[in-house]
Amino acid sequence: MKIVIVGGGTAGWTTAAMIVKHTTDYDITVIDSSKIGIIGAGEGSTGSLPWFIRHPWPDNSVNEIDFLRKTKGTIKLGINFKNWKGDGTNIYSPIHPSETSSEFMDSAFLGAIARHGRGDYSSLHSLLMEDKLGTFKKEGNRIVQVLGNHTYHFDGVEVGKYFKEWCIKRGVKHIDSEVENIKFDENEFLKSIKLSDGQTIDGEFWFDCSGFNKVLMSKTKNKWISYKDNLPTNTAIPFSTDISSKNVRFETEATALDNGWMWKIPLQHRHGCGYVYCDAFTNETKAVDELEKHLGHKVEPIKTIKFESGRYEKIWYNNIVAVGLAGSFLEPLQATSIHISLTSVAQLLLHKLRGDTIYYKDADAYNEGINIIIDDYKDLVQMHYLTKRQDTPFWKFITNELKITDKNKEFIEISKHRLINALDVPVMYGTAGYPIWCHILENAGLYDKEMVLKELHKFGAYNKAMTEMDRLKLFHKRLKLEIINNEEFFKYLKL
Amino acid sequence: MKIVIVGGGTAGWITAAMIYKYRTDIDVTVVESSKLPIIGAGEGSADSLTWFINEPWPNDVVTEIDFLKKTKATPKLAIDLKNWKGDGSSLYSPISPSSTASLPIDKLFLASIIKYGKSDKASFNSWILDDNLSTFDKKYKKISQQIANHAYHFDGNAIGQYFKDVCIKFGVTIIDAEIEDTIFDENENLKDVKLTNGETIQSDLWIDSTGFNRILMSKTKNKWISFKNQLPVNSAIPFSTDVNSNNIIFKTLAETMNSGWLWQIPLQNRYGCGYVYCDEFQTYDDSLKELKNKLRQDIEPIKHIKFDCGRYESTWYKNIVSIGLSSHFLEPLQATSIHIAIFTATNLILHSLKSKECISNDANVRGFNRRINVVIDDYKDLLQMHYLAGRQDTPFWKFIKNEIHISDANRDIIEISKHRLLNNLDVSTEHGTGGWGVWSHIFDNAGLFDKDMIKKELYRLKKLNDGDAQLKSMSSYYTNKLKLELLSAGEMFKYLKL
Repeated sequence: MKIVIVGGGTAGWTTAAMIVKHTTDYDITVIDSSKIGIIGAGEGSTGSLPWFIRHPWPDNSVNEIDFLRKTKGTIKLGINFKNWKGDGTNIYSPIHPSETSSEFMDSAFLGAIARHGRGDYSSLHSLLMEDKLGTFKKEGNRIVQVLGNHTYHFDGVEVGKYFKEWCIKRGVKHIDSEVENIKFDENEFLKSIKLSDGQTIDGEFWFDCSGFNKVLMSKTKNKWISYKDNLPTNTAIPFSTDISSKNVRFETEATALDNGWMWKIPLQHRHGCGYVYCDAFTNETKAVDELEKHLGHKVEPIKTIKFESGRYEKIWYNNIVAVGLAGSFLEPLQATSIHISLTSVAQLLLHKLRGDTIYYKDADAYNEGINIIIDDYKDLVQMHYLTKRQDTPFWKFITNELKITDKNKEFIEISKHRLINALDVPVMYGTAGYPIWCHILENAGLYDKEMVLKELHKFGAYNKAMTEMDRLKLFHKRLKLEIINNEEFFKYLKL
Repeated sequence: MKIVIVGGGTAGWITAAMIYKYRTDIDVTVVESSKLPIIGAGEGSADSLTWFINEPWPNDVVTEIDFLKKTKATPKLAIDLKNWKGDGSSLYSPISPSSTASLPIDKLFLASIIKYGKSDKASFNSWILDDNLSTFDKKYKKISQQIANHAYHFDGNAIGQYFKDVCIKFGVTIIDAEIEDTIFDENENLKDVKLTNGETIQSDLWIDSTGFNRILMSKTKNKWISFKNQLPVNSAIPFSTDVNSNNIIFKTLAETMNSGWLWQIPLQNRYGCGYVYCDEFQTYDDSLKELKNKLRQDIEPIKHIKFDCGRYESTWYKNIVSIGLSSHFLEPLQATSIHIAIFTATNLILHSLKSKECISNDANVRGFNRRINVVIDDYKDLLQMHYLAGRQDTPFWKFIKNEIHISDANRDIIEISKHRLLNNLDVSTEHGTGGWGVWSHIFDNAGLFDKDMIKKELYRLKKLNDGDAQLKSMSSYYTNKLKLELLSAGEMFKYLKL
């Protein structure tokens, strides 16, 4: 079967690599243009990228350290949310959950609230982030991971290149050209495209990985569902700051500002930063001004990215699947973009496109599943903002006027009378799940300490929760002695 | 918070025990009548009961061995589905799935079909059953759950009594009376219940565990949704036969009959058996005759049960929650009844009812009902799929083959299976549902896995050799290690009866 991928950014080349890695007998062509820049905005990921990188590759051709070195990456233990409540406090959203997160009552999480007033201290990784440590130790001459999950930060431009090189070595056809014209048949199935170099390319199945340009999908009758009523930001200005091995922290910093929030991601050669804001409340000049005041140094935006959060009604439409920014975009919070790309391609390849021919009715169940995932992240991202901040017009708008999603309304209503727990959160392959949600719900003030204490007592679980906290404390103390400091690990990565 | 449980059968007493096990803030009263018999039809369970029994209890008031001895129970490693295709063949539906069941490509499962012509060899449970072994580890002297998990067979009358005794140790309040009248307030919340002993009682929340009588819920406007056009049977004739340590096998036999199927469950003192049939195709007398011919012995029916498969629209309605047969009934296949009762009670006690205010919190109740309905409907589809295996030699089976209303989910599944292999994203992944581990074997029973298609897909996904290699190492692990560690079924049976 002939598959054509249009677009050679992160989504395009990871899609091609996943097809080559996991399947045989597809004929794959990637069309990208050296004239069109890629967005490469994604510089952080979730737990799904480590799955993709670590799941064995033929001849060990991809491995974690190699990937991090070539993409100028670092590891990510979680996100450090700063000042989202407007009171200067922070909260960690760790990749590795608490040890009790799969039990019906996450006693470590509740124990951390009871003891420290913050649930994030239930994850060892929050404690390590706070220590400015990673999760690696020395074993003789080798550096090995001690425990738990992490994910990565990387240079957004390098990830695509990394997999491009891998794919081309393995026979993926690559055409450097642009799409000029598109031909559909009478059922709106894409038949062929004409390129700017004069060639016509046929294909049986197509991936639109052309980013915000949506080169293929925008020509169909597929509907775009906007989330702009639910997600308040629409502009991002990325910029860089210096990094040195001395001050590196293996976390994504997400600091709430007057009109949105700022990310700061440690790479090997720089910090990748950006201000995500809503242009109804500020403009680029004012935003840069605000940033400079906040950071105490000059800021030079690399570009201005305008976006509209939303998704296509159908990510898989006839014989086209839109992956990456071409299919959906939420906003950079929680690094959902690469996660949704990887998940949607994995589900397609490993679960759906398995027969001799494509069973197009599969698209309905597939889209339903993917939409649940995207919508879950939409709800999650919105929940970050619902901290009742009122100190600027932007935050006043959010607290008083933003259209709250049905699911979030439900969370808020339930939380008045009991603690939210794992069964309240959608469980599907690829959704965020309770271990991510719980911290964001707590950030939004939905875990009242008094209610936590009451519920622990109702279940006779208070002592167990305290025992969990004591155990964690001991474990943390022991690990701190083993783990190498960030400076050393950072230097090892840069070798 | 005060909870009154009406009905002291299996569901009622399990729910009460669960409250005592996990909560310190709930005052429980159970109203039961020593004059009313319980149905006690459930004699088998899924692995949720194994979890409930084995998760540690305060002061060890419940232990697995104690439970097994007092309820005359035996372990259950699988259901043996016999002759559902009409060709005399059998397939296990094992309690533990293959070790690759959580992966997109269940390599062991598929390799088992290629090599043995059926999927069940992907689970250690099937190997153990074929050798007439138990999962009792000789060295550690206990039932192992590591490699092959189990559920239970038990005396349906003894299990309620067992948990009643547990609750008595915890200090439960028991009222021996029947319900005379129910008084609702203007919002349809149940306010007062008048009892035959003259008492009137109140409660914050009521649990209706009154079996088919549905004493509380039937007084509300809650709607009953019937599944009778999707699940074909409506009658059961339970009876017993003899059991001894020579013929014991730790499985539920589920063998098709002319107008339904026959269960045979090994207990310590007897086989609990029953013919589940549809009375539109066969009379009670003819069913008895068929049984006698088949078993070549006289049958003494214990009773004759009539049922309507279905569920309430809302398991939790106002301030009443139905648990057990009062909320839904599917039919005895796959022993869903106690499983769903435990699942419902767990959802209530551990997740949704944390304070009095939760009872009137609409979002909370809606979420609860949605989760329960997903599970019941999933099992409804699963049970129907058992019947779609191809038998068509009698009017009953002809009707199923040609006329039964196939559920939408099953119709989709059958259609998909013509184009590609079914996999774990095609079934619900929600908590409490059958899941791929159970569903996959029922799909296989229904003939939805084509050998050639398996080979092609495994080749395309670069897994053609993986599965076979894994199956070989499974077989050698079993033969050289596991098999030698396990006690025979007969020996374990004697040990249980001590």
